[in-house]
Amino acid sequence: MPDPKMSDDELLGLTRAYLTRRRATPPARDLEDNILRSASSRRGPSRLGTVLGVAAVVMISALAGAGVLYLHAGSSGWHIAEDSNGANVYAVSCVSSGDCWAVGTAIEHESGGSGWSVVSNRLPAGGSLNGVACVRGDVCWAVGAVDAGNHSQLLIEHGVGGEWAVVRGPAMSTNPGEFPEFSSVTCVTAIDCWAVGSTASEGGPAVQPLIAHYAGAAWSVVDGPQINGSGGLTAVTCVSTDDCWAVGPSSLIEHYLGGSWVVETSQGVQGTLSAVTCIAADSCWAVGSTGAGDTEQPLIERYSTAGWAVVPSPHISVPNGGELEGVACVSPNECWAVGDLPGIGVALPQTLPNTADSGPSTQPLIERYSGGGWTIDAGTSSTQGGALTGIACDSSGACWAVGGTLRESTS
Amino acid sequence: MSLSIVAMSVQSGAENRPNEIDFERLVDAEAGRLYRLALAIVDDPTEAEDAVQETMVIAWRRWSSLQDVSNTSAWLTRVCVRECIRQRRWLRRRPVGTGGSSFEQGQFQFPDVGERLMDLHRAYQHLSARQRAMVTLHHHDGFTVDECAAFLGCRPGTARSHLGRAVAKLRKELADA
Repeated sequence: MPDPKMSDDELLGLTRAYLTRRRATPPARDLEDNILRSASSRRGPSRLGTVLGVAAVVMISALAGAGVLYLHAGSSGWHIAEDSNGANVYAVSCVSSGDCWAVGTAIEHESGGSGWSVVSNRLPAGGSLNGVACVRGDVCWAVGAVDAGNHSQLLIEHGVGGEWAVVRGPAMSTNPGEFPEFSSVTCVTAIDCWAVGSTASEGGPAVQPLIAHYAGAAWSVVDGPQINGSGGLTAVTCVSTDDCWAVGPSSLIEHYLGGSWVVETSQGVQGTLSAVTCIAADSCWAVGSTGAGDTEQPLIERYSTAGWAVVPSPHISVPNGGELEGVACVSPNECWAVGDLPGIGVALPQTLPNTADSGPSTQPLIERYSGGGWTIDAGTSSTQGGALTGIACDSSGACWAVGGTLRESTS
Repeated sequence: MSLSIVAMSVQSGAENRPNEIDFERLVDAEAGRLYRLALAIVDDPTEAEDAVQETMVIAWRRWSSLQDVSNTSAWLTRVCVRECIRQRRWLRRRPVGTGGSSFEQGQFQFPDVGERLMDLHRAYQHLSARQRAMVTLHHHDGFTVDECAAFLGCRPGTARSHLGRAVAKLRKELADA
């Protein structure tokens, strides 16, 4: 029987030995012949040429998320506003009409319909920003982490007047194998912001929530409640200076009220919560996914005076299911949730093209709440793959959803 | 491995057909590597071959564009990893008994498997496809978490969460063995 107190090094060494042996198995002798036969028999006109009927311009990116995908929802519905290249974008924040910031492996800005432009791509090497919150158009915070190989460091950037700079984060261990990371940030005022994320130990059993507060002078880690097992926090939002919510995997919901964070329980199915937004103190939405790994379905939970409860989400009645990663509301009766439908063979029940022959392209998923319930929105039929990870709506009611084109997109 | 990002414009149409000799060279150079990666994720030789086959079909279709991708291996790795994950989603819906581990079926037994490796193998069966992908890409192949996240198409934090849970699950299953 293995030693239950096996060290991290022993466990990882055993794992590597296992994988080395497992992977030593050669493929069947006819694999290459089968590939050549299969490829030559399945060639044909490209999907874009077929769907669009034109000599479409295709952009191909080398890796997932290489193309930045911006979707804009105005009075005419969703459309692709821009599909640039060179960065990944994970989150967006809008504070007034047509004034939005997006972050990821760069910081980008859009103002007054002028189009998205890279403001700063000088993040520290290995750095990525996972969340952004703007108090005004010219005062923002962005958070994430810098991957240093055998450990990570928290990354916080402050934008003032369009100029961004790295600021000192809360003191955290930088020991090898320690991986603290911020996932989300929200601000009530310019001097009252919260950031949440996780701390993880490579080889260790527990991913633990991380909460930090900025009260005008410096960021500091705040003690949160003890949780059972493993889990971090992926999103945070505040209704007011003393009323905030944070969510994470395993339906973890934490509430800041009365000066401390406590774990709240949710009635309903368990799942991963990826985003949260509040319209009022007694009206919030949290979205994510539920299901055992490979059979995910979107998960939507609502907070009311009765507490958190799962509400019906449109069932994705096609293989592979789907997940939601962002949510934003324009009004109590108009909210949007965005995410993706992983894998090929996915056909949205509405107007998105069937991608059954197009490779492992993930499709954007857009759901809308219009007072009566959530429905799948047709989104944009011209999108050829992509995943949406963040959404924000400005004061005019227009929304931006951001993410990555996983393989290709029209331009 | 660098995470170079390359974009190019091509005109869709017949001129995109690959040179078959060049394509055969690519298959010869990459099929074995991709198969071993896929096998570590899906843990089934037939599924692994299917994943590699689909990956190379996509490479065939995107041949002209692929010629200008600076890191073809990274591109193929990403497509293969996501194809493995997609396949596992489908296979979850199959009746019990139609898949399973070839390792335990005796088709690919290691000649000198020790008890600890066998226990590790059983523990490995409890990992999801994403967790297996993270363990093999990060701990075996040495890719950074950011690179793994790009392969899986998720945020680095999500990738790290998959990794942390995978190791925790391996530890738990080994302790229960």
